[in-house]
Amino acid sequence: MKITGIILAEGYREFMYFKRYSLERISSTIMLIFIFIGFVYSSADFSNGTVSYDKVVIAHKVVGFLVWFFALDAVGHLSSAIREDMHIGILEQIALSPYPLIYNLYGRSISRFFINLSIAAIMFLLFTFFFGLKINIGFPAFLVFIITYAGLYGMGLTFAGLTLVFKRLGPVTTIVRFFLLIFTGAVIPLSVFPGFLQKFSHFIPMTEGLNIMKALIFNNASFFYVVSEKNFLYFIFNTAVYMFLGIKTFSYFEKRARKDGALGTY
Amino acid sequence: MLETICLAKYYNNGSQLVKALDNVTLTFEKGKVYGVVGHNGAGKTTLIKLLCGLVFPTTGSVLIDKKPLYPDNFKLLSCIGAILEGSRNIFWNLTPIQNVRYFSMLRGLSYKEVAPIVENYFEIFELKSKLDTPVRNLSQGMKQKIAIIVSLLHNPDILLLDEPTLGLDPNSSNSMQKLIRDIAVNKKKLVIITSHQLSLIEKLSDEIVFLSKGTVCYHGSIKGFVSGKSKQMYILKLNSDLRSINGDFLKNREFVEINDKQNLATLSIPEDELNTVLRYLVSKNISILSVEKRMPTLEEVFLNEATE
Repeated sequence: MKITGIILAEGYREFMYFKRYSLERISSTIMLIFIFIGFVYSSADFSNGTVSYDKVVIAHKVVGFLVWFFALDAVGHLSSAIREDMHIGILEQIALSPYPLIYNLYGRSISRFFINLSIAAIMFLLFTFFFGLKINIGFPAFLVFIITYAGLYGMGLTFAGLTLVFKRLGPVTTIVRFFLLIFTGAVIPLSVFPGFLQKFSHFIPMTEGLNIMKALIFNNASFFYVVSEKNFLYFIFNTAVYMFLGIKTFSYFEKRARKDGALGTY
Repeated sequence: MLETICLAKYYNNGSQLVKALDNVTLTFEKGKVYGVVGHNGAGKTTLIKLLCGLVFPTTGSVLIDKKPLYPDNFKLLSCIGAILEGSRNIFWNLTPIQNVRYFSMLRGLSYKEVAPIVENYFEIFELKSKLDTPVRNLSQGMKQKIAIIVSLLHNPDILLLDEPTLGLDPNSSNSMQKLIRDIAVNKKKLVIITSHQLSLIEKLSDEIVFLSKGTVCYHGSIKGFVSGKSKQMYILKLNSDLRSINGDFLKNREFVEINDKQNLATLSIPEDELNTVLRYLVSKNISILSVEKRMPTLEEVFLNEATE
């Protein structure tokens, strides 16, 4: 048996579920679009009787919001997927595989990435068209984004592991998701927060990734310059720590769930 | 071959340890069907889950072809197929074919590789017309059949079935039983079944494992279990209305069951009571139509055990 088989299987399942529940996906995307438009207009200037906004600020918000859109899924999807599998009773059948459950989660994460990428591309085109923006996301920024995403999935793996034992973590992941929206510089500049929160924010995998992405996209910084900076090394280190913790935590809780006989209980 | 050596499982229930299984040493051979029986909470499901790595043991080991499964030799699980929660073991929002595709990929197989096996099973279970219907719209029995097909996709050497005929109609149950025997006898696989349908266990199993309160009370042939736990019975058919004779003699005797209807009566008598009862019947000029030797069923012995 090959690990690629597991990844393919989970990709297939995600795709079939996406097809089956496309209406849910479409409506949640529309909801996100409305939330973003709300963000833009809530900070717009209406004093002259017409709406005016700073396109540079909105462009920053678009990038931040789209990265948060991926974070939304990365942090909470694995946890809710595990919960659903336990609830419907399928988790034990999946766990009969000779490989640890984490491979199934890798498969789900990879397929979700591509599904979310296509949705994010639609939102990106819509926002740039609607607000008349020009945002050039080059390959280096995309690469930084993928590393950011990996760090976020590290967080997601931790929550998925906790779900195996503690079952219901929905409210916890929701708090974390909104924390990421507010305190990482995605849509609100970090400078408006107290010093301790700014410092704390740098421990979150998304913050540094966003900073680097914005530098690459909006400040025309060269990739080699960014890579040579200290904060890039910290970003890589921070992502690696989250991935490592995520994998270790999930493996620990998988073993604990098997020890407690909790894979089949909900 | 599958072996368990001093296998024990204790669950931590707050401040105390609860015994699920203790000191279970068993050997299961390929080419045979084993029935695991016991009352609720006897440890049947825990045993099955320990055999396939879903629950880790507290102590002891599981050996598959002499190789230890624990602590982390889970590659061995590729030779195991199992149904643990029946119809809950498949995706209800996918169709049977989509389920088959998913689980074959999960097992590292392409649909092309499993197609001949699967089509044969779909034929046996009369599911061919339902292949594109979402599982949620199928009957309980059909869901159960699909779960069984899914467990057989990778042609496992060891098949663990927890209540395999649950929700199946008599025809499907019959097909299932034939399939299980075929897998064990002709394909030389090891099949372990748990079920509360003792008639099914009796019909299918070469050997049984009787569990009680987490320990093995018996492991061996059904015949050995039945004869060891209860007396040989004789069925006497009489041409007489038992109400006309002194029924007290019969009624007061242990193990004597009287079913009288019109002028026919049937007595079920243990071996050690036979001579006394026969002498009594002859002395009363009651004609005996037939005397038949009968082994008690597994169910009768099981119920008897429960009463004791």
